[in-house]
Amino acid sequence: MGKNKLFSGVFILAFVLLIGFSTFALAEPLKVAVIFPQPITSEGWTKSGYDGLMKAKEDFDIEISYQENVSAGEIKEALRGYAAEGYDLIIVHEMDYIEPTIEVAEEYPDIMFAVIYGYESADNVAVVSGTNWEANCLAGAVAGLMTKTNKVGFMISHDSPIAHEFLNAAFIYGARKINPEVEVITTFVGSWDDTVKGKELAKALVKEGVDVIYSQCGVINRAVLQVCEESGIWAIGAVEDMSYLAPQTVIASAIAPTEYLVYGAIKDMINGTLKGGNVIKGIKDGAEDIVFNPSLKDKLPENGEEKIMELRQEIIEGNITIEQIREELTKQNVKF
Amino acid sequence: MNLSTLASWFAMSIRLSIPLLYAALGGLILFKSGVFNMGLEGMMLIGAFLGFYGVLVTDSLWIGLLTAIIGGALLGLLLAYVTVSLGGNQLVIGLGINFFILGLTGFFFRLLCNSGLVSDTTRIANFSSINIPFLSTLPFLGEIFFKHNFLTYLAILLVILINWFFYKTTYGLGLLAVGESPETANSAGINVYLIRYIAAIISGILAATGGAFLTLTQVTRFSENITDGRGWLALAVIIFGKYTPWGTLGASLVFGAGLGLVLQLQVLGVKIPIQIVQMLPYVLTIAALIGVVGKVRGPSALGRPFVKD
Amino acid sequence: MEDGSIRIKQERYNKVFITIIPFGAFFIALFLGAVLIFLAGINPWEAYNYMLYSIFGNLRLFSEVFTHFVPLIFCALSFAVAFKGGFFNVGQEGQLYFGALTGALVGIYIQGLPAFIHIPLALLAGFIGGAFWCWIAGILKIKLGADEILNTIMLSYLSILLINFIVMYFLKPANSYISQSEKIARSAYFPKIIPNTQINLGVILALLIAIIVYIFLFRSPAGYEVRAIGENLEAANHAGINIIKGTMTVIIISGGLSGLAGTSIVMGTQYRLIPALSPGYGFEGIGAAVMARNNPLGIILTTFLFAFLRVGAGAMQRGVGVPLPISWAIEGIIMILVTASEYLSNKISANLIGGRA
Repeated sequence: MGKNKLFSGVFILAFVLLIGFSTFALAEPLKVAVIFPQPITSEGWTKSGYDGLMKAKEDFDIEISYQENVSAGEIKEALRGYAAEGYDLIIVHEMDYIEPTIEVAEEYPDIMFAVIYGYESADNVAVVSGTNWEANCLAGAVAGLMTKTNKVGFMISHDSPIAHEFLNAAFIYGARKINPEVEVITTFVGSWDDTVKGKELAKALVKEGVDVIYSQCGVINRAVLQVCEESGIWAIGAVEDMSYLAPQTVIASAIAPTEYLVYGAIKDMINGTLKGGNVIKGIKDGAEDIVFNPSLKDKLPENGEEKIMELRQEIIEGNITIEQIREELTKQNVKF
Repeated sequence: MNLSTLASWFAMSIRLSIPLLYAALGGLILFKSGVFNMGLEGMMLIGAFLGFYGVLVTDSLWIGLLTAIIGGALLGLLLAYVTVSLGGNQLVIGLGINFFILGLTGFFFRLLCNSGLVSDTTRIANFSSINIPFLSTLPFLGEIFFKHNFLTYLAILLVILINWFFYKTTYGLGLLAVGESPETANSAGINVYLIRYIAAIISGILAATGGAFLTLTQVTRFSENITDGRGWLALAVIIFGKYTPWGTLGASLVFGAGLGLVLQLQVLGVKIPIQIVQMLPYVLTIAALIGVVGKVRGPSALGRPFVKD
Repeated sequence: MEDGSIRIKQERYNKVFITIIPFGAFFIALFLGAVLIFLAGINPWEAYNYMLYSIFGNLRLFSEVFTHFVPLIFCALSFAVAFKGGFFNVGQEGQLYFGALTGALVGIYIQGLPAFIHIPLALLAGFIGGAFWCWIAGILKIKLGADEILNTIMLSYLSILLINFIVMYFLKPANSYISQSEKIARSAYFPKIIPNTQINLGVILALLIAIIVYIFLFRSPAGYEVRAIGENLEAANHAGINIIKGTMTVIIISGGLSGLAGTSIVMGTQYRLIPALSPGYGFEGIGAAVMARNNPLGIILTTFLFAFLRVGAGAMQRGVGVPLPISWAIEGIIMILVTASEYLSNKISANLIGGRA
């Protein structure tokens, strides 16, 4: 028993000392934190957010921190942790976490929060979104343009309402717009990590006669790229310009440059323009776009680039909306 | 579904089932000696990582395979020490191994990335398919069975070997006896500890090979948590295979076909919720437990530590 | 006389030792974790220092420990009760999800009840949901002799996928893009005990149930029977204990407790059913139970440590940039060492019993 008491005594003493020794800094640069739902090594979407943070760290005088792989059950804890630690701007890199963010933001009215993609906002919660569909629509158009077999594949990591009503609808619409004969095969890998399954899925698509694949599956994209390379079919890159990974295979990429979203939110915060509310940034703001692989431009069919650019222009001018797309597809009896 | 699609689905199913088969065979050997192996996931993951690392550094597939095997053997040894010598909880040690290896491989992979050894474009060599002369040119069957890599053929050989070992050799029968009743086996002069130790090490080696199969044949890059639950699925394979080597082969083919079906159906444009198909292996296993494939009976002493008086 | 008092003293020391050993293992694991943190180029002392400072330095963050504590303790108790009764229930994760489903259904679809009726009703539903999922495993074991370790794990995976499916295709409001159910009624929220923190009714409930489970196991005749079955099936049978009834009792209680873990997340933290409800509480709970040698009162302490470490892992990441995989590795080392340390405890307790005989 005596030992037990001694033990706890020492522990408490050590503890008090620890707290005592911890000191506060006085003047501090802006403190920015980002919370990611996936590990930062999950390439594509998460990596682009991470890169945005790193770029901001280089460009501005800020102190940064991030927490990765934060599940829905842990999001409030991560938010409160950062709030307690005196961060000025806390960015959440996941739209599913909008409600817990608003809840915690109410507790800390002096701190600014930003959610990347989202549909609600609050006084101190800024929602910074891409459109979720514009670049996908153009990716679909490129797929429709390039296919000779009239079969194109779209790979998504997880099944979700967003996947159907935004990503897939826009992709199918774009593809059919350029090539009414095209058949889009949309598939879900069911995992963020399983590169093996992703690769097999891509192989099966190729076997089925698909000759263009657009994959939006984080780290799995690379495995898909490899299949495309080996089977000599076209690939469309996602999030970043992927032509450097497979110069002879990636015909174009639907990009979401890191300067927007995370980086943009930080920049706005520094300029004092980040406000509560919902801001959707699309192609016209430069937040997403389609880029062609310059070394493969001669492989495009005649007037191909012009056709894509025409569609792009229509999107920029607001002549096409996602609601219209869904309506039209439903009218044509196309499932998405 | 035409013949060619059917053939490619079957071939894909075989490719997807082989990692499961390795892990399940590894699990089976240890199960048969009366010890649970809940660390299959971690053992596969260390194999996937070390296999990748070995090839990355030395450019030799064989050395990669060897490092994977050594990693698996060490984990097997750890498992044996804690469960056999110390009589520790067989479940929790497995969970511990899984968490530990998930963290360790993730951490070291990041170190590799940060140090520049692994870059965006890194790809390693892989075991390529061996087209068996004449047989691989057969229509339909050729594509399904005779265009696989070395590790696939080895796995089938191992099934035959393990089956022979279990039922035809003294040591194999000894191992089964230990799994049924270590006390009786002990009084018959069998060294229970030694047998369980060896079984655990082989178990680790096989599971690690299954993991290495992922990085050395299917994808040429490691990524965090690449095994994605295959080690747990391997447990289902063992039960569905009724604790026999041939059954394990059959069960892993069925599960591989299930995994393949999830992918193939989507490619064919069949719209069913993906979760329903994903549930299939577990539903099958429970059906097996209910007795659809006949009575499933594990070794009697499974999970019970043995203490020598 | 002299001899007897020495023996009693010795026994008491031994008991203290047995209690301390797993904690020793815990701290050794933290030390090994420090080596990994060091390899990552971070000062381990600074990292651990930051963890303690940030959690104890802020009531709100500290209260987050309890968001993990409540479900973890239910999972740990679930394992412990079953273990004491000789039933290895390791399907806590799946039972948790099923309990969350049934609890959430009562929370969402029964409206207009006062809280003092709605809360117990939802809890009861959660208990029944978890118990039902465990009962399936129990029936497979009792009727068919199927090993429960394996079938509870299989049922776990099935349950998680099933709930994922149900939420996406049946519970998701039609106008929502996110795969999650509607919120439960306000009357089914756990009331907060300290405002603006995560310390809510669930904490009291969890502690209370831990004590009830302790009394059930060690102070009630039914608990005695259960333990007798767990210790020696044949002897219990010989003593005229109804094995089937005893095992079934254990299965229902164990599954129900896991179900409560899920319901408590829905009613205390999430207020709705989401597919990724549990970040692995089931397996962690088992670790905590083993560390406490399946003693419900010990479980209070060990689950607190595990919950603390969970919040700590986040804090170390946020404050000092300790990579997340290191936290997983530390957790794994804890489980490995705690399992290994059982040997020492068992040896001492064997001597203890030997001394008595």
